[in-house]
Amino acid sequence: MMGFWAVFAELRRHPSAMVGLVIIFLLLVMSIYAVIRIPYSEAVRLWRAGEVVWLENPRNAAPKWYNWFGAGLPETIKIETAAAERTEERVGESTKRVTYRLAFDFPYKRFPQELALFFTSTYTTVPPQLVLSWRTPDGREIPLGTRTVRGVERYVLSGDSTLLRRLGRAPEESLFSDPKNPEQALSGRYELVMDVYTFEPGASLSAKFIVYGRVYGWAGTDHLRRDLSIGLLWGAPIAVAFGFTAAVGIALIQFILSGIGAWFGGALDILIDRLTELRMILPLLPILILVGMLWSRSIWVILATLLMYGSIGGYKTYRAMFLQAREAPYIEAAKAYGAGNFRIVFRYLLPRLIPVLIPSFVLAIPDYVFLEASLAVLGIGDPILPTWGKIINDAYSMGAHFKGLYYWLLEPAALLMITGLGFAMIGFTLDRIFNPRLRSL
Amino acid sequence: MPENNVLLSVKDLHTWYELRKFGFIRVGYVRALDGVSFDLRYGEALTIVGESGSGKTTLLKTILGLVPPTKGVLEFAGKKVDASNLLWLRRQVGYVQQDPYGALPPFMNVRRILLEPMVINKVGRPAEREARIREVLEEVRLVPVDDFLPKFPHMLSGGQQQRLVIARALVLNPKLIVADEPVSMLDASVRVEILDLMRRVQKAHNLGVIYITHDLSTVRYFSERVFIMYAAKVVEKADVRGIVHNPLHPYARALLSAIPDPDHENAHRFKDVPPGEPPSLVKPPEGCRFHPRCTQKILGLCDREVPPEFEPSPNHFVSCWLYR
Amino acid sequence: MAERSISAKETVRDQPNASQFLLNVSNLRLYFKTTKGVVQAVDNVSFSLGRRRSLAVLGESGCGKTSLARAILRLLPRNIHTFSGEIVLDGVDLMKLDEERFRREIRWRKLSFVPQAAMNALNPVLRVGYQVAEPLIVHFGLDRDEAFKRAEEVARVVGLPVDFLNRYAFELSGGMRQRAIIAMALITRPELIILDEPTSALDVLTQANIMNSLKKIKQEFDVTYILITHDIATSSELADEVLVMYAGQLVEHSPAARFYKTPAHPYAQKLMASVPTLREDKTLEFIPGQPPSLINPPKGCRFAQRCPYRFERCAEDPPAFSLDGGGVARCWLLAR
Repeated sequence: MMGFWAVFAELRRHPSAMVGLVIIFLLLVMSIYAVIRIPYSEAVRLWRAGEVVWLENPRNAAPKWYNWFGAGLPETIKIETAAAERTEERVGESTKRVTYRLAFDFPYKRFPQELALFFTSTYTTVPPQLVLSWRTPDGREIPLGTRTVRGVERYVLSGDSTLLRRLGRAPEESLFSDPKNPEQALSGRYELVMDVYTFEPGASLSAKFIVYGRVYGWAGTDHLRRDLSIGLLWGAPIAVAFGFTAAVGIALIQFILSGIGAWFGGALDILIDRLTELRMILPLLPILILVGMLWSRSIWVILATLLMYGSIGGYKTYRAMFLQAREAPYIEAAKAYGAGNFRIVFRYLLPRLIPVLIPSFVLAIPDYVFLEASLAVLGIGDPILPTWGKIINDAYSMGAHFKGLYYWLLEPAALLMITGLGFAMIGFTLDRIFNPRLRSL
Repeated sequence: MPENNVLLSVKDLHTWYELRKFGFIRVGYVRALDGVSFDLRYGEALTIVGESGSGKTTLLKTILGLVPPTKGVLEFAGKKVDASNLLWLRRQVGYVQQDPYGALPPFMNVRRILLEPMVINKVGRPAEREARIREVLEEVRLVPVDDFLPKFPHMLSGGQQQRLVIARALVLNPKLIVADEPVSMLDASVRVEILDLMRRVQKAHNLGVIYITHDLSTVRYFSERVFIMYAAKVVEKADVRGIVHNPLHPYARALLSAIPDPDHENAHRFKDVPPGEPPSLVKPPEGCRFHPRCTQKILGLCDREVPPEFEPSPNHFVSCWLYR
Repeated sequence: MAERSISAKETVRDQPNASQFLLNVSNLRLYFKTTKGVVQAVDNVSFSLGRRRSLAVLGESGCGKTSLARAILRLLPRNIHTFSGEIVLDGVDLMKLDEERFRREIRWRKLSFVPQAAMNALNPVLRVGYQVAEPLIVHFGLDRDEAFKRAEEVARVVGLPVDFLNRYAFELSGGMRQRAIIAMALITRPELIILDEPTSALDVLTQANIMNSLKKIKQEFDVTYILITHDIATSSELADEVLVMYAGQLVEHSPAARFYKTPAHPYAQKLMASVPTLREDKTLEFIPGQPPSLINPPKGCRFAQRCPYRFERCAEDPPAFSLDGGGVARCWLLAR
């Protein structure tokens, strides 16, 4: 029997296995990082929070590295009043005017996606008012209107239809377009000038101006402005944990059940055999759908259902092997020196076939990873967890492939494939290592 | 130790296996052991010779406690053995099997293999067990002991594996060892070593040994007494000299003439061998079971009545009507 | 003792009518590639076999005797490192034939094979009779009825009751299955039949019966056997000559009449001394130690390490010395 290190040394001689090991290692690093950086409850909270948490991200933004290929997509720029140039002036008794010049550089040729202002105002009875105007790098000044700010507000300039009518074109384009080249943006220094009028002592207004870019982060964002890298990151531990638990759990239970059935034979064997056959005609997908509809769609419930379903399977294969193994002389010898039935099954019979078990469950892991992803893609997976399958599901239902948002579909798909590949490569090599010895079973 | 020094006493032992169709319809019995009686004293060695289907393996399994007897009495060290004390019997009898590699669990090392019987039977404290393991390895000459303890079966040669099997059989200090063709799967030059070892061990511990084989030519190197079995019965009992020089039962005669010594003259002679094959044990022939193949049968007697045991010369028993 | 030392090759050439030999093997080498190195399974073996002089190839497990058979039959695995030498069967050098010609002209026409554990070599889904007749249908293009008639004839010769031909393999006992396999090997009337442990798994009486049948076949048909076995006593039933192999090399090749009484090579002597005999009361000896690995065999005589008679010369590989009364043995003790 090969010890652990002997197997490892053997694996090293196969390049594909080494690649597989590297992939798995990276996945594990990713998973541990994800769990430590953003604990589970936090991740769930973030993912299902909806727009509120993610408001400052652009919607459907591509990954930053698109720009390495010369896409020239603008990044998001955020300027706050707290950091801006500020002049204060008293105008009347209790009226104060504070002028903020929110200046920023815009070096891009493509237009930003959105423009928004986030206000926070404090007052007692009379809310502050403000007058907005825009200054372009080539010196034009464009008035943007006035507003009254009560409390916490968000003003989406690019969605303001009044502004749209007045400017004749979408604000995020008209405010940035180059007069000489109207389809392109004029790069240079822009300013948003805010004249804030407060009417009470102690009243104030602070604002954050966000020029939404078209790229964000390593993975981009989705339709709910969620940073995809969080979803992808968290998908790793979920995929690995689900795949591993399902594969190992099911394989172990199948293995033990077959060993017991094959050893004791008789009625028990026949019973398990029939149960297995019964289960073979029950289809998995409808059962999962039913469970989802009537009980819960949580991933734990899916896992539990899968475990119960899958464990009563694979019986015939293992059983055939056990039936042969149980005739081995050393088992008879064990009986002769007094070993009881359970000791024989667990200490003499099962270990004999562990070399068969190990490659088969390593190879089963990708099956379950893909199963979880498939369930999510079909829409019957866990609705709140950030998994790769869920991302694909979102992308697909939002028409990512029509809108050219390919990164949204391809990133989770690539991760799924790489994971599957990693386990498969190790699994096949393990099979090759363990299998020749099985010929003398 | 009982007065008459008898370790194992077998009286009219029958072991039948049920034949079932579809797992539960009983259609008959395989009468694998059909009436065997003998006594074995402490420290005595006995060889049982027979071909496949003769019942020798079933006799072995019954003595080991692996299979319960259907009829008859089995007494070990003065105690009657039945379903209630099978486990006690198993502990008292060591088992040496035919296939040395198959007899050893491939995923356990030498130390673990020898530890198992003690752990299962809750014998000795940990320190005592380790000491016993060393003791028994030295006895079978698998030395230096420390070199062998961590090894796995596939790292040992055939001869070494068989020594380990013998060591395992000895580890619980049994009073009886049962060996099933212990050397037939070993190379010719190694067989002698192992036969030698077994003889030595037997004498050193005054062990009873039952050695089962189909190869008569190894018998004289092993024991004084020989039983010949055919079709689930013992047909002749004698000492080795008696069997080799004066075989009485026609089957024993056939067996002896069929076994060659390495002699070129064999190539020029045809052997006088009875045709046919051993009978079915489900429906054995009436009367003497060898009669369908016997060239000397007495019609009307051999095919009707089962012959009892006769003693034509002292301590030489034969179940054959020719000696009535 | 020989008067001068001669090599095995000289032995063959010196014989007057080399063509009267059925089989001439010269400098046969068969090495396998394994993950642990190159296994020299058959190392420079040369011998000649006359017609109707059945040969027993003796040796313990791992000595190369089965590889020798496979080399002659060209039933080789894929990991061959070296396969060289000459195998001349009835004037035709088998080594020079390509696989297709070998299959058509030699295998199962001039040369056939009864493999080890042959009983499991029968196809469980075909009737035994068909399998016995199959070589005739495949090689000679006979039609089924004609082939079946010949199958019945050969079944009678091997002692297989004719109505057993209509049964399936699992309905036959071990001895009967073995007879069926022998019938299959005999049906094309080959000149040479190689048998690899033909009776090792059978009962004594059945073994004796089958040996009787083989002797009868030997007498009635013009067939030569090469019998490969580790059972020395049984080999004496068929052998006219004996070839002993050790660690991939031929150590002795002598006539049976001489060999079983007084083997020349120390290994052969020790081997004979370790065989229990029924009728003769002798003390058995065993050979301490183990055969050397075939991956990096030691220089010089490969048995020297375990040989009680070794001396300085044994560090050199001994050539084959011819013996009085015929045969050769590779041992320096025979020089001078």
